[in-house]
Amino acid sequence: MCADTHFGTERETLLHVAEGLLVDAKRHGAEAADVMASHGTDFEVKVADGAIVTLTQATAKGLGLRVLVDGRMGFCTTSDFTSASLARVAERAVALAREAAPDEHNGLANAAPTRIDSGDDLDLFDPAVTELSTETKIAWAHALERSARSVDPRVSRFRDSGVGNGVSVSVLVTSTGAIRTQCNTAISLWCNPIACERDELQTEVWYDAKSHVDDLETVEAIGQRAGRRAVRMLGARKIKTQQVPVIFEPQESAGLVAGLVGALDGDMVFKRATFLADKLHNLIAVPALSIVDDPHLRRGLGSCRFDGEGLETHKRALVDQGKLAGFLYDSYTARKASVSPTASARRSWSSLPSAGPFNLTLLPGAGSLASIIQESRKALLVTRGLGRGLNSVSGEYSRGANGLWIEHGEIVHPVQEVTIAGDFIEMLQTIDRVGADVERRGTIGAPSLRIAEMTVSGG
Amino acid sequence: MSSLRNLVPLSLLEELVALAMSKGGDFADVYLERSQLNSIALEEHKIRTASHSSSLGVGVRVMAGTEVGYAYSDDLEPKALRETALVAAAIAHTGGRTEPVSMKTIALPSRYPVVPVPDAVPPREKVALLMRGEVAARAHDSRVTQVMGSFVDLTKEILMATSSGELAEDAQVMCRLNFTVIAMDAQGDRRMGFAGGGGRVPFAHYAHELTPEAAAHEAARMALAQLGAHSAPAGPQTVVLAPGWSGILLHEAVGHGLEADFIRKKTSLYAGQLGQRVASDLVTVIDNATLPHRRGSLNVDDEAVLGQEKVLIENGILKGYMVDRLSARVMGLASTGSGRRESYQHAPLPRMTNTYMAPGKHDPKEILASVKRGLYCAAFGGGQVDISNGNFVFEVREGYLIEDGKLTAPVKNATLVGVGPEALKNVSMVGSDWALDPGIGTCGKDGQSVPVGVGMPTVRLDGITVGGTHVR
Repeated sequence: MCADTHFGTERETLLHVAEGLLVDAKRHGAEAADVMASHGTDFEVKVADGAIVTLTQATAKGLGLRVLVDGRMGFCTTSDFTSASLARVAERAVALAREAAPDEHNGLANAAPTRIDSGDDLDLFDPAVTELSTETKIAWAHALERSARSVDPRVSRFRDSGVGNGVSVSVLVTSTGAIRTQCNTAISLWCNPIACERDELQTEVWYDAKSHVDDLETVEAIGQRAGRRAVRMLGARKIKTQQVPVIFEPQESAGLVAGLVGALDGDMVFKRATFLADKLHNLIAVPALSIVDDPHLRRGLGSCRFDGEGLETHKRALVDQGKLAGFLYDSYTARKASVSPTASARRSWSSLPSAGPFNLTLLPGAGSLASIIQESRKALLVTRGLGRGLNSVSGEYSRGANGLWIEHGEIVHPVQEVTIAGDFIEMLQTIDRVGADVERRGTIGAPSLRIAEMTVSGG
Repeated sequence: MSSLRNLVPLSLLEELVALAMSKGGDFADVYLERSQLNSIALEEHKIRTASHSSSLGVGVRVMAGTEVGYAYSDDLEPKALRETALVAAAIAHTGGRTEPVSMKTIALPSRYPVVPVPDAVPPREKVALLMRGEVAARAHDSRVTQVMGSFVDLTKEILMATSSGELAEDAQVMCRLNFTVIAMDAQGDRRMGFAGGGGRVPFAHYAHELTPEAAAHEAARMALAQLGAHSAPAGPQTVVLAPGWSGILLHEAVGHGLEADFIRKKTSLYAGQLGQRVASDLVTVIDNATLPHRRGSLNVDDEAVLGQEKVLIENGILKGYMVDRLSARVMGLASTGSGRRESYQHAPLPRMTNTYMAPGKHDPKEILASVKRGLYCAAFGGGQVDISNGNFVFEVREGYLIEDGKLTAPVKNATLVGVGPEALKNVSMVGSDWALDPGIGTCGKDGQSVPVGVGMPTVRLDGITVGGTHVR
């Protein structure tokens, strides 16, 4: 669809600007260069108590130029596409490169000198997202709030509820002749109600984020789920300090996956600044745990045919039946570590490439969250984490947690003001349940998990 | 470079404000921003990257009752700006006025004059700072395995015009030098140390106040001090907070809950508590935008109101909130100059500036000596708060056991967790050794990041939950 629309025209405009900049860069002395440029629309409406809080609308653009001069790298970005501004960008990038040190590992990736237009082939562009009227989005935002209120009279205040959507067109052009483009859409809905009883306030958020309108959980379901989650936290209290099984809801498991994959950055591995540096091909988790990065997931919010340096991407296992199967490298870190590049460079127009995943999935096991709860004699079910969690240098994990206390397979009362802590590898090696209930809200999909024992600190 | 006033002439600003109010509404403002960001990064003994980012754009906001319409543009052509103003104006439906607003420049204080601006300092001088720090960190100890450094500076100019006729123009610079050091011992234990700082300071700050050697040594010291650390004890205990950056605890535990948007919507547990006791009588908390050259200081906020000093809590009694223009109008209060935004792409929100606890009477040595068993928090990492139930959490970056009034073994993997008002009621001693942080804080709210300062004397907190792995 992209090619037929207004966004298709924007794409050709971006390519024209980017190619012009490469010519400028060469003229100023760059041996090699690449440009990432984007154009996008930005819309967000937030409502609370039946009124609009803010309604934001804009289009925005930007580009980043990376240059190599005598093995040195310089980088410059701008959102100002006037010719005077663009002329300064190339000159300044080359001047900055001369301040950096030469590094034999610097260079562009070995991307094929072809043009790849990504987006339609992976079904990443939903015309329905672009066609939503402002009135519809405002109405949805109000409906989110109404749905949350409908579940219980104690859902009586709101931080906000809202709808955000955008269309983005990006191009990557290298001085070695690679041309890459991508068009995609994104839409997100969220509801953040507060349940009140006497002096107690409990807030919760529920949300969904997808590339296509049709894939979203319904407005009513999101609002109701947010309301029920807030109400069930009323009466939350500390539990005493102890070692118990800890169950993670799917979105909290996704947080564990994000932490783990953050420690797979090849740059950190090379610097031995991650606890996983020595663990390639070792068993770091139970055999029931497998994590896959799939850049070609249809309609995936993180999908792309090529990485941030133009290399063609492919699906790969990061953790395969408990074994650490691979790290993430961009071309610089791959050269430095003398390994094959994994086409894992991620990049926005405002940043240099760095290694990262596309769409992660923690593969499903068996059973539902309800069955895992039923099988637990005593456990803490974590419904929301607070704070960062994993120290990726040392591998220690410690995080604030809100949740529900389980006894004899039933939810007994809500819990707050506690932390959960442990050694991350020990946690992964003592996962004793992996659910079948994979949920994907954003770029990470994960099911419910149970860890046999963690330290819960409370009273 | 030409001044912002030449980029968008006064007559056009006046026209844009009038267009913003053309559908009705109670208030409108136009915010023009130009920024130049430089970043130099060092790793593995050499300068890895040198980069520059420039940004220029206009944000237009219209308030109608409690509703806000916002639009922005990175295209400064008059036609694009007029369209932007009309998009923002659409929030109002009451029928507007068309008479032009004539602007009057408001006089600003000068709390952070910086010449030359950091964008004009040659990159070579910033590179030299990083190289000096790298040498110092490596020379500090052979167990230092990695040194990463960065120097980031921002030169930002803003120009604001409001429908009440205020015109304000400010230059807000920011510098920050940072070192991260990783140390490893013979057993393979790896620990990280961080140090650095800055503020709205001239580059000369790094010749005297904070040399790269001092910052690099401090980062190395922190990493080395934690090698062989013990598991943190879990459960409630007495905690002593070091002066300075520990103020981040105040920022999270009470600061956010006193921002007027949460008060107005009654989503903060501090709503309706004005004049009530919310902390121990030893506790006085101030938010102060007027400190010279500090990271959170403001001559003027991002909605053309002068930066101010305000007492939030005095001897344990809640005295005031941080108020932006919207909350001020709806709540019948005066703005406290607390309206801030990340950039022209964002509508302002009430935010903190430099937030600190006032010093008390106790000798810091006496505070430490008073604790039989407990945890000393020398440095914190990040924190987060849930403003509704007041739950907060903090990562302890550098901590030590206190045994019989003395610091003993370092501890690892500790987190503090508590409820804001309870924690502040459990403040039992406040030191006379007040300090501000070195200029490292960034605060996030609703997806917007702004620089902030924090401060704190040595403080004793009783019965706070420490999240650890060692169950006693």
